[in-house]
Amino acid sequence: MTMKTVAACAIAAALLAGSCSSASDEITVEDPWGRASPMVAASGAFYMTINGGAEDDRLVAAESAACGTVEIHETVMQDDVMKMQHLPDGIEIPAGGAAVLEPGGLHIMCIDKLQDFTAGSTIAVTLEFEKAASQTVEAEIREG
Amino acid sequence: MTRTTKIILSTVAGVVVLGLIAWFFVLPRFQPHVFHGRVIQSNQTAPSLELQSADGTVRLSDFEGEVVVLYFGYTFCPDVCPITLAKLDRAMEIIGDDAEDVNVIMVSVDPQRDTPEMLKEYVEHFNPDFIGVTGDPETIDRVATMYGVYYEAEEGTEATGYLVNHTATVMVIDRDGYLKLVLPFEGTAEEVASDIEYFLG
Repeated sequence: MTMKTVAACAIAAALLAGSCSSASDEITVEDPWGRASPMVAASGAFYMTINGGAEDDRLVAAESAACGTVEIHETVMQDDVMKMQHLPDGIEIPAGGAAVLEPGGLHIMCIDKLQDFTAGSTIAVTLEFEKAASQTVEAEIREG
Repeated sequence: MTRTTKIILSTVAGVVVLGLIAWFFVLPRFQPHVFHGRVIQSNQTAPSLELQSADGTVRLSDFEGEVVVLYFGYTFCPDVCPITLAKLDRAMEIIGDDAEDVNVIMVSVDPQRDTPEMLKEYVEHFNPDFIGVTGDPETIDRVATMYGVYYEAEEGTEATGYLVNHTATVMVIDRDGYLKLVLPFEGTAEEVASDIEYFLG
């Protein structure tokens, strides 16, 4: 083998090895939390950071025993006017990237709360993805 | 080191120390306050309002001599309204004892669904002194229009029913009843607190 071939093989091996050991193959959810709110507020919001896995995916739905219905929404500001948009196609979770659900932006909306969201408690939320298997996370309820 | 050098050095040190004290403690008192929203310079009397809370009729004139902080929102709102009310609560904490003279009032832009009792429970979750008010749709419409607050029901899904898009600004009315400041939705509790403190005088 010539030096060139050895070098080429070495680089190829390094690249392959690099891609195998890079970011997690699976979608991971960081810091899921919900805002504390009394029962009189018929809706609630969950926030979290969803880190992408090895391939592009989408968060298409969510469920929780604490909510009659769960929808994915985005708060959009247009000149001081707040609008909330329902995202029926969910949120893109890019491979190697992340989708951040945070106050004032993307959030999982809990409609028809079936229980108080008490600060200090946790509420289980099941996230459904287009490709990846669904995951259940424990959202920590905090004072806003 | 000669005696002269010592004298010069200590004088320089003294000047530096005095300079630092002036910079950090004296000068700031002479700077004009920087506001974090739209200031209304002329003395515009805030439009009167007479709305219903669970504890009776609430009128702006009830708070003469005190600062009023007005926000238009609704209880079904999961994200924006809680953010704003939580921020206002933190601002009250930052202000401390003087917050006694601040009255935070949330006006419902969803009079069809929000009852005075619901509003009271909702706002008191954030701070026991906050007041929630509503009225019949025509009155709410009139008050919102006078305050330049846009709101509109938009069809949501079957699950949500309608959602209300609304101006999410916070209005500050000073002790003389003049509408002085319109704070944007963005902005920290510290910024809001510092602006309200300015009007507490």
